[in-house]
Amino acid sequence: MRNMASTADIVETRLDNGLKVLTKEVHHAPIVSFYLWYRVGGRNERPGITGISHWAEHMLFKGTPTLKKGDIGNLVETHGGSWNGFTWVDFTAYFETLPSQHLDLAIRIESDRLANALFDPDEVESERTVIISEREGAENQPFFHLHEETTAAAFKVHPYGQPVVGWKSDLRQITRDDLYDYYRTYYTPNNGIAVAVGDFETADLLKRVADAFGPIPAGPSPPPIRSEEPPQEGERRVTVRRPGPVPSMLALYHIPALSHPDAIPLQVAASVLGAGRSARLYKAIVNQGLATRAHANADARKDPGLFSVSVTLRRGAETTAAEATALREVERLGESEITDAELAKVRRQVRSWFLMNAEGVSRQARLLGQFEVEHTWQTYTTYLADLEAVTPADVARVARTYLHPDNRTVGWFLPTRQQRQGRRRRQRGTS
Amino acid sequence: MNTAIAPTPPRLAIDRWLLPNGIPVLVHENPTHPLVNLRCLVAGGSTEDTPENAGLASFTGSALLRGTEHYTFEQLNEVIDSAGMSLHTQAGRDHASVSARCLSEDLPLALDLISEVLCRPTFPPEEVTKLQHQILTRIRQAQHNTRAVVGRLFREAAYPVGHPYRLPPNGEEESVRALTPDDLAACHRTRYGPQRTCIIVSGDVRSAELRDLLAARLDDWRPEVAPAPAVPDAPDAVPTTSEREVPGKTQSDLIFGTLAIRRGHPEWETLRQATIIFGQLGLSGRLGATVRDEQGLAYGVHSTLDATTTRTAWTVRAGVNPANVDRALTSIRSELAKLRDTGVTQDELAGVQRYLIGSMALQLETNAGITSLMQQIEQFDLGLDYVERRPTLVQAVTRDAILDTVHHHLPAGDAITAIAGPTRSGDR
Repeated sequence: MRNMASTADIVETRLDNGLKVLTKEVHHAPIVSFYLWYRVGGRNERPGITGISHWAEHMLFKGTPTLKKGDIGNLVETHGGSWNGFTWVDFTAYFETLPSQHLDLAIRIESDRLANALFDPDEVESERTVIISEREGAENQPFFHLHEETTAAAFKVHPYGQPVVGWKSDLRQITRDDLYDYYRTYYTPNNGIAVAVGDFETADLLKRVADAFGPIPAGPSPPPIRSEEPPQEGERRVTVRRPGPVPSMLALYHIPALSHPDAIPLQVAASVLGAGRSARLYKAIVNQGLATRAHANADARKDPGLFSVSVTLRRGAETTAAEATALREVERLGESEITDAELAKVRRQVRSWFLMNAEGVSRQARLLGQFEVEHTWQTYTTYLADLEAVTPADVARVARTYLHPDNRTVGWFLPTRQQRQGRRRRQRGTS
Repeated sequence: MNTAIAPTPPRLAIDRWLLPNGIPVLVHENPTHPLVNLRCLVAGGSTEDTPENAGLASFTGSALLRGTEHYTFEQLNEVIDSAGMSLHTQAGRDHASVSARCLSEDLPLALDLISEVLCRPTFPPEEVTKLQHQILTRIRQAQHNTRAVVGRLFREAAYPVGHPYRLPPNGEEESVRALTPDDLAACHRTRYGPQRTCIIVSGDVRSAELRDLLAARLDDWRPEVAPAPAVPDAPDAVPTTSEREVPGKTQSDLIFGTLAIRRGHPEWETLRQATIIFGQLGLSGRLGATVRDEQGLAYGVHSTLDATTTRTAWTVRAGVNPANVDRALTSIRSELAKLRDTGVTQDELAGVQRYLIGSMALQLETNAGITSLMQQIEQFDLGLDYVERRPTLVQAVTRDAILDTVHHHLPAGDAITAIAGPTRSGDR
């Protein structure tokens, strides 16, 4: 067990088997949050097995030789805790947040399922329809289709273009062996990060973690991601036509990874455009009656990700006018520098956001783990200083570099004409 | 580290006092972070609307932010965003609220803004018109949302014509289109006043300091408004099945349920524990074990018991493939029959009671959790020592009591059933 690095209150340690452990003591409440992050998600998938990271996550709740199906949720909640698992493009993560006297339960659960998940064939089959049901629930939302289609068009090489929940044809055909092989490939201590934030003493916690996780042998390094998205050389456009209430638009621009120096200036650009009701998009589109919602986000990831602008139109508003107005606001970022007042506002918003996130141990553990998977946990401690260093000229430069039409994919959800829905099909009394 | 130490029983120090104009204020001083959460609640919501002006309360609640005597909408937005605070206004079924979250150094500013939107909104016609279009779009979106549609079907089956809970809180297209700035101003004039208001605060502020800050801003707010009318208990509803097609959807949403009991009913805690065992604990309780885990019918299935001052809903909700709706309903009925026949096991009861007592520590970690708890304490008159008493209240529930309560209050066989989604082949 080696102490690798630390800041004033965050300690990084690595076990001999490669498991990285991040700890942060917080004693304001008798609670601890324990996360296990794995460097596996949608980016590790290939056509034919899309959705497998998410499905594997579900299977880690379906039993080990010592924890049978359903035990994890019941044990955590009957000890007063909360729990969950989640999967996204760069990671799969599991957590338990508990009264701190029950910390050992979280360590036991996570060390057990890292090595011993059963992937019982019957459980794989019963979960297949649950996974498909999760996808179908999302399909009921118009924006899901717009996001899925536009993202697929934006990436023609990198796996970020595939849906994390998986294409339905893949979900129908993935096998138990596919899942188990995937689990054995990516669920190793050397591909994981344990994060603990809360009411504990670091030395004591590290001993407990080492006792539980130390005997698990390291595995081979997971296969690298070979695909790199080539530069986009011209606007791409996508249209989704389905029944739905109102049109909506999603514009996506390729941006560099979180590790790139331009990541934070791009996040400032997204905030100036879309953070709050005083942001440029709200003023230009919502306040002018073209839309009910307008948002921007710089989704910096482990690999180059996307800057997004999304707009939900007001009933009867012109799609052409809404698109032109939204994209004009994006262009404007590169034409002239944002004001000092806008930059000061973003800094204040982000500072407040960090302080508000620090209120709960689970949120802190989540941020630390996500930063570590996507770049380095030190981002947690340097982000505000890096933000202070951003200038209006930086924002204009990154806007010109990345937020231009040739680097853009524009998607539209356009409702198809339907007979007025809402027809009552049947009503019967059964008493 | 606390691993070897027995947990401290939960406590929540609440200071409660009245402003000179009669507004009760509940404060929990929490200096652990330089943050403050604040809620102003105004009793009365869409329950005071009529079929002709349905949506009035909600429209008025949202429009509070659209301009005041001293700020335009744009100025309010600029000040709020520049401080990095959140400030929201809205009105639901039973009350309107103005909620803020800010750095403690900005509390005086947040209170300035809250007093403006609460006491001095002006409902400028141009802004009201913009908001009206947004609400009409949201109503259109709800018509295409299976969860919203199924909720409406359930509501219309559970509450008779004329009951305040039957109306859609956001209104209908026709009723919202007819509302004017004058209607909103009249709604504010007749429904917003100290007699209906309470203020709940948790965060980095001293109670005495807050008293001075609030008094300086709200002491002269003294309009006379009538108390919010009590909502009558709805009668037992006839079990019906109603179904509506929503084009272009993949999944059906369903609700199976009944009207149960009010929050203040002596058996509410008992029914809550039964409900958690039935469809919440772990991975959605017994329902999760059968409908999701064994049969693979649904990603989401759970049961809930609403908490309001009048008789309200006990429901099971699920999202399932349209081909599996009947199977899912059969499983839900079967599990309910088991619950009614044999109640819960001692292990289940002990588990849910450990959950309810143990999870209090998590709820008390953040100002948001504490504020929600204080709101329940005030709204349902639970007593300022509720947190200390809660373990005893929870542990007083017995297996026999649960068996008795589910027999009295949960349906035998059929219940109100609502389904919204794509066309179902065969259609039973």
